[in-house]
Amino acid sequence: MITGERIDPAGWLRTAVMGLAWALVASISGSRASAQTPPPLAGASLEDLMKIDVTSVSKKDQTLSRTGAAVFVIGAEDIRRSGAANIPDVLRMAPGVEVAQINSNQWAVSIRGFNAVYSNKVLVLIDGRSVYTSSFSGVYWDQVDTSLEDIERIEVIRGPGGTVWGANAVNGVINIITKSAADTKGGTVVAASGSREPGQGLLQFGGDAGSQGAYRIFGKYFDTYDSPLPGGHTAVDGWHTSHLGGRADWGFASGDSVSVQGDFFSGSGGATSQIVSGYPPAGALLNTRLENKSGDALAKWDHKLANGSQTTLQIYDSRDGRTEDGNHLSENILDVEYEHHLAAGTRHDIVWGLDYRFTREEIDPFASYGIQVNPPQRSDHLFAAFMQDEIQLSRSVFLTVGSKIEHNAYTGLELEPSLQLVWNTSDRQTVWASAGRSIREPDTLEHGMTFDLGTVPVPGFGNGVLVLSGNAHLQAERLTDYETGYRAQLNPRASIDLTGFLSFYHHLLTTETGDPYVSLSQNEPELVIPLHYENLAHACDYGMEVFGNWQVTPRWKLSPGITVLRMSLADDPGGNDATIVQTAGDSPRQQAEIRSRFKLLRNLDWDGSLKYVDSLDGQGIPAYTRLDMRLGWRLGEKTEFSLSGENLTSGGHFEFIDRSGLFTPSLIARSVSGKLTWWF
Amino acid sequence: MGIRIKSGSAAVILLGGLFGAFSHAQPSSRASAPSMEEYQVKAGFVSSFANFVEWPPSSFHAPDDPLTICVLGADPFGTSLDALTEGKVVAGRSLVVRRISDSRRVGGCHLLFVSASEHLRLRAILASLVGQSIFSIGDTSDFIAEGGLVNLQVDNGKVRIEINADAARDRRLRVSSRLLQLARSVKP
Repeated sequence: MITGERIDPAGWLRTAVMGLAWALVASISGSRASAQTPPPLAGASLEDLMKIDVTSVSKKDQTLSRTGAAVFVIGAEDIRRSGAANIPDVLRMAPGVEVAQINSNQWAVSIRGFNAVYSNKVLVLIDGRSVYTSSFSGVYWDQVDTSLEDIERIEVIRGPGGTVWGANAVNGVINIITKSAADTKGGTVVAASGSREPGQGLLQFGGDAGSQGAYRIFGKYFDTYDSPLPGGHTAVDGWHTSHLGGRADWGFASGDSVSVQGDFFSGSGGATSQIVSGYPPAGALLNTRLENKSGDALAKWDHKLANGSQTTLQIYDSRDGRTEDGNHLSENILDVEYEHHLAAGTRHDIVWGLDYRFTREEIDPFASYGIQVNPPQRSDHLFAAFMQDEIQLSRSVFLTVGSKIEHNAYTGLELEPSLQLVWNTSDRQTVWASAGRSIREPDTLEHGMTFDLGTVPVPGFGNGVLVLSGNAHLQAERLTDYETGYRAQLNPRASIDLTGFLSFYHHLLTTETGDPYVSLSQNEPELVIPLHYENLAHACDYGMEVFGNWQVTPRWKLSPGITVLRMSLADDPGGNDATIVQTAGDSPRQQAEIRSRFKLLRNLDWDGSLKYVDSLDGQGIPAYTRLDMRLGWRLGEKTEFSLSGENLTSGGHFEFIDRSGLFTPSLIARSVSGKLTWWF
Repeated sequence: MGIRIKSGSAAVILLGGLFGAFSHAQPSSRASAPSMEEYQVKAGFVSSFANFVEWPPSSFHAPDDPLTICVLGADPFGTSLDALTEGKVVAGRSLVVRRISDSRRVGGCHLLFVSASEHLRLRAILASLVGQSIFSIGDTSDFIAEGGLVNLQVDNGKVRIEINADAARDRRLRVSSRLLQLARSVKP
């Protein structure tokens, strides 16, 4: 199936390395010549300085200098110049992150392994609002629809984030932060069309809200085509979304600032899945509907106290209804968070906070599919408190200690402590080490479902039925993690960031097989093969992520990155899940990329990225190299036209095979699109 | 398959070659506004402010005392501030850059850049400067509201100067009219 489109990775890498080597030689010889000249700004007048366009690379690097964690920040400029049309594609640039597209509307996105269509160990937040679905343990990426034009930055934090963010921030946190309404005044119109999307559009308007505030409102539309399957077939998975939303921000002289925002989102499309059965038409493709309606509202109040400390109160409500394969799931979250950030004495920088979350879930199964959830409705309360203290041990050494203490409905009291030591060896170099613990809560389905997975023929008997049951006594999956890192601004034009980690997972979720028994509940006797969930596996993973930025010339920036991951999973004594070991084969052992941002002319950008993703051995997916390119042409101050090509070197390959069979993998093919942005 | 690999290789070589070729092209005409790293440009502003401010005589011990630029907190400038001040003389005084981590050590500073890393302590730091002839510069949104003199804000990709001229006068600092013209006057 795949062989027709297979690319020879070795040959590719060789060519890539040669091309890059050529570029490097050319540019180094160029930069050596300019090293003799005085600094470019010496003698510049204030008027000259005010005309220069600035780019912010080191601002984020600098605020990172006291961070004892592995962080990668994707800025607005990175997003715009990536040419990506959706958030998962934007995340491909972040080291340590695994992004694989399954079909037109589904992605598998994870950090440091354990990738799956609903990968359950990464927490995703939009402006502090969690979009991690706790009934399903995962993120519906097809609903993460924040307009790329409005994103200020995406912070990707690798490693355990439980101390600050709480449960389910096991392998990392993805924080999507949108621009303040004060930064998006005026109108924005975006229209795009391409070979993968017939059309997408954004209409946004912002202005003043009183004398001390600003607002924006927007309407967004996104449409994708059905994706190709091998053998000339087409999946029925086109995805159509509409999204209305807005945000308003006020800042007062008293030191208070208030922000409110809200969204309505509706998506509809299809999914092509495979029938799991030992009988014909086993493996046949089945087209089902996928529909979603969701809404959210969030308010946030920052208050500055006279002593310089700062408090934040945030409240949000989100409602989500989703129909997948005839099953209807709905979830309502009400969340209240309070945070106080204060400097105590000259040496302590303390953040502490309280969190209450109410979750109401309802699963209304389509009867004939044989899923039952007990209870079908549930309401849960979560209480949490955390405190973190950054202690300045000396001028350049900082120790951060903290913990979250959390009470959830499934596993009761959980503790998520962490310890970080940061040493700024010079103004431009940081060495850090950390240790931390995070957990993942079990979800509604793992807790109380009964699911007839399928029927298999049993020789000499007749029908055998696989029945998977939840387990009300599950424990939280637990990670204990040790990391160390180094970050340096090597010179004004080059920076580097290295992280190494060693992660120990305990109580990983497994599917155990019980003793078969005969059931007479149907017309003819059936042999029931019972499967149920347990926490009977562990893992030891290690790896590293290295990335850098190199401003080769004022017009050209290169950003290389390498990710290495080794996973080894095993059943605990008494555990018998043969599939757990294969989880390691769902993630690439190596990923490497280089991004280039080049200002060809004053108003013409030429950007590209080349990314190598190692094979997924558990899925039989060979390694591939992906080339994305973008040409952006600015016509005056108000208009930009861009042409993007994704996956340019491939006629179509699989990126990920969903083990659950819910989504049949499609071929991820070359695509091109054009986009017009107009600001008024 | 063979054709696909070949065309792909050509694309990469073309990519590398063109990048290399264009990297020699330096911005040559004055009309084209080159894009620079934010803090390189801000270092340019900080070092040139020395030309536009007059300090009271009591700020210096001797006529040839250097003019001291201090950076409080995490230094965002890298080497650019040092490179711009090296060998530079303003009104007969050489420029010196000092990096400090504690606002109690501002004695002898003439220009003080307060890094964004001190954001949380900003109000206390700026309050401690009242009555001293120190030209404070920052780049966080509330810098002037909290009592600072000059704020360097990035707006639409360009650095804009905001100034609280009254507060400068209160600190016995004379700011040149040229700077006042270019800056946006802001009241806390």
